[in-house]
Amino acid sequence: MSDEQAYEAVKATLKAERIQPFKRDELEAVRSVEGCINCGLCIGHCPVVRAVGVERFSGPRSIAVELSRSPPEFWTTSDKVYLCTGCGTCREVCPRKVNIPAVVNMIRTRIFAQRPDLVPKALLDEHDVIVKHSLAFEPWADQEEKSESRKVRLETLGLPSVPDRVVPGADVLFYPGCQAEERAQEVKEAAKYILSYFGINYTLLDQMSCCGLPSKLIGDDETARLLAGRLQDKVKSLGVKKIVTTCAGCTSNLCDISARDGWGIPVYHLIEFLAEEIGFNKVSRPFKGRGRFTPAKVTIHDPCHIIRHTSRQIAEHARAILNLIPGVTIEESGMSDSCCGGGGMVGYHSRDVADAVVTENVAAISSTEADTVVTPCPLCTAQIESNLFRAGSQTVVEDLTVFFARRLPQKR
Amino acid sequence: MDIKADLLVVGGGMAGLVAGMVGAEAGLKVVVLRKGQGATAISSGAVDIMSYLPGANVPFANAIEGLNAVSEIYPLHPYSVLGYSDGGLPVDPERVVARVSEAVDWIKGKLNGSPSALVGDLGRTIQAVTLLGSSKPTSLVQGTMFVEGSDDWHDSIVLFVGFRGFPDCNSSITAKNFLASRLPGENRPRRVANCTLDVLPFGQPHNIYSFDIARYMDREEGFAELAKTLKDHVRSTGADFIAFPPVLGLRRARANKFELEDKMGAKVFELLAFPPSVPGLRLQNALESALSTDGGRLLIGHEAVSFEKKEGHIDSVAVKTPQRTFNIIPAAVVLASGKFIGGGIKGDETGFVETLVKLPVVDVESYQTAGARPQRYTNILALSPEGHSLFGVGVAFDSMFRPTGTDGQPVADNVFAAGSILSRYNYSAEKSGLGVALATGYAAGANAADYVKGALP
Repeated sequence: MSDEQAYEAVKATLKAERIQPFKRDELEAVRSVEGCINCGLCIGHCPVVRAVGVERFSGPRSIAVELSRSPPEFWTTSDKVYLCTGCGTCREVCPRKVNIPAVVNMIRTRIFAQRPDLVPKALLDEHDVIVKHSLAFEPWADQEEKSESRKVRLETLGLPSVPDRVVPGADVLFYPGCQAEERAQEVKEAAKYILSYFGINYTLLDQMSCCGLPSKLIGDDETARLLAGRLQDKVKSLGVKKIVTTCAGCTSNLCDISARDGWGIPVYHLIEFLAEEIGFNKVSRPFKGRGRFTPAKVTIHDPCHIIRHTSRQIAEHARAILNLIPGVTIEESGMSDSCCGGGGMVGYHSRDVADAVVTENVAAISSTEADTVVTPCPLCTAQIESNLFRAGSQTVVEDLTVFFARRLPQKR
Repeated sequence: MDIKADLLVVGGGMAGLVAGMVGAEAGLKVVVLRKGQGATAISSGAVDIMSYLPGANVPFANAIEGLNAVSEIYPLHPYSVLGYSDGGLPVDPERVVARVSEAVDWIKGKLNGSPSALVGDLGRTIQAVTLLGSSKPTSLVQGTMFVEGSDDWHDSIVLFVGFRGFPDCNSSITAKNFLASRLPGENRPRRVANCTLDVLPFGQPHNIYSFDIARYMDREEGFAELAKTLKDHVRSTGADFIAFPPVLGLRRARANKFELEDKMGAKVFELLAFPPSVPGLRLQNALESALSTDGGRLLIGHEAVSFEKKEGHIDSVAVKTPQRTFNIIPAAVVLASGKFIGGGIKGDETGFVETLVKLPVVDVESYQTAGARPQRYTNILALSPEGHSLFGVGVAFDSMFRPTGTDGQPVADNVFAAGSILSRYNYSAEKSGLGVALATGYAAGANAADYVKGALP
């Protein structure tokens, strides 16, 4: 038997043996596990462990350790691995930078392929939605209702309506993400207003298509890669030079796939785009010499996908931008960088765990004098909003993009 | 977006945070990079200064004796360098003691009021009790781990507390070992007792983690449950001292200790535990918040990946976050990136390497390691008083704590080094890890500040 034939023969047995070889782009994360010194710092910092204890969620280390076992045993973590919110705190405190969030996704990928019976039902349902619509949410059945909902939101917030624009040859693609497209439409509208206010030549996609992060978190690597490829085609055909998004998850995932698949196009969160590309000089101009302003005490929540999966510099930009707005004072809660529990698709199947994680954020936010929580992510906004409401808090939660857009002057 | 800084500190453990605070106190714009957490966060939370001479079975009477001995025997030891006069050698032992003592007083002031406020001084060795019931000689412990009178157990009853479902501490073994390691008449308590409490952070009596209990103790209901379940045990044993595994809280540990002492009518202290321990994390947290109080900027999750050097001067350091890279333009740099845990020094089959500036790595006796396999620096015995000289490799440095090249000259005029990245001492055999990190961080931070202000001789 030649080497070639032997290789093919072995490859043919892999599926039966329930072995799924690592993809090239997974290898770096796999190798990072070799650096683990078993110190356990990650367990002490994990927000899910903090919320529910190691009995319910055994912590990041035990998941990373799974990689040192023979591949078919990945399924043994199935009662734990879906409780990870993917916040990345473990990787951030790890002395050796073991990429545990990536390991979690790899394990979920293998369980999805080999033991779909162990995948939480709610995630399989979500998988069906994504495959059917290329969106993370069931789209509006009636487009008129969607536009009515958008109108009501804009009126309530006092935001101007900016018509959608799809312009081939624009410099910037504004990618709102599924949540701002289908649910938190005010975020998309606010971003359009901000971009047009500063004279950015931007375009939207003709048809919104998911970036693939939810599929990746479910473990459906095939769909995740399919969606990434589809988006790449759309981006290429539009010919844009930059991508701007308002969603924390989309920011980090688009950065990931743009680098992995060689798009050669930088991806920014809008906050970062304002700070670094438009520049504080320009961004501060609309607020200069304005006599009338509404005072606001805000506290910030920093989304994990921004600070731990992209860069903490963006959190500093968020504060710098808020400080440009007259009347705004920032009240730090001391828990701004702690996961809100909204990530990792945990809320789809284990709402109790997701909401246990946010308990400490809610307490810290409530102990400030802030009247508003701002966060540059629609998912965090929704998770914190519903839990603050349930805790009987009067504090308003607003996406930072919306908060900023509402304070920009409007032409009359 | 690039950042300009007077002082860039690479590494956010004891050495780096101390250097950063010293720089901030001197009025510098300080940026501290912390890639992950390192040896400080993993530590027991006690600050050892100098407990053993490598190879010795008997600890020093106190740190002053230890520092004097080091000054005499190891003139190149980082502590000894603190005792150099302008001309370098010989070492002035009094100056060494004075400078370490200054750093110790300073850090005690910095951490005062925090959950990890430190107790102790160079003149006295504290025999801290560990989870195994053994004693560990050290100079500084957190206030929660210290009780007045613990150097004399005579005539006392000591109660060791464990928690059902908490596997790290078997209080019966702790109690037995504690007694067995003390000969009759030799500072031995009258009686030891142990108990196992049902304090259940998440409602089930198994698989409980030290941080689970500590966080539960930060909450009123958790502490109330502890006090309630402990009371009968204290009454029935007549305990004078109550020893806990170090789980009295991440935030409220001190308040909990004093409140328990009040309620129980006995003295309460925490034992030293294995890494990662709650006190280690308390120490890390307290140091980080002390830096921000001083106006220093801590960049979490930022890793220094490369640098640019012009005319013997490092003028730019590239910093990486998960998806972004930017430059920090510093006037001076303190390298406090640690050793094998922190990642400042790496060792593999091709030899040792300093990971950022690619400085040459020398062994504990200042010989170049060039290409030598790390195994060469291990001892045939895993545990021995000599330890492994592996833990003494690091970068060579001059009397200003500037890292030096193979020619013995500083590799850059604006770079200083502190903590376990330094060679010429063996922290694990000496029990001097956090002490050297503190003292050299303090000195390197001050030297860097002098450099920035043009005041370095």
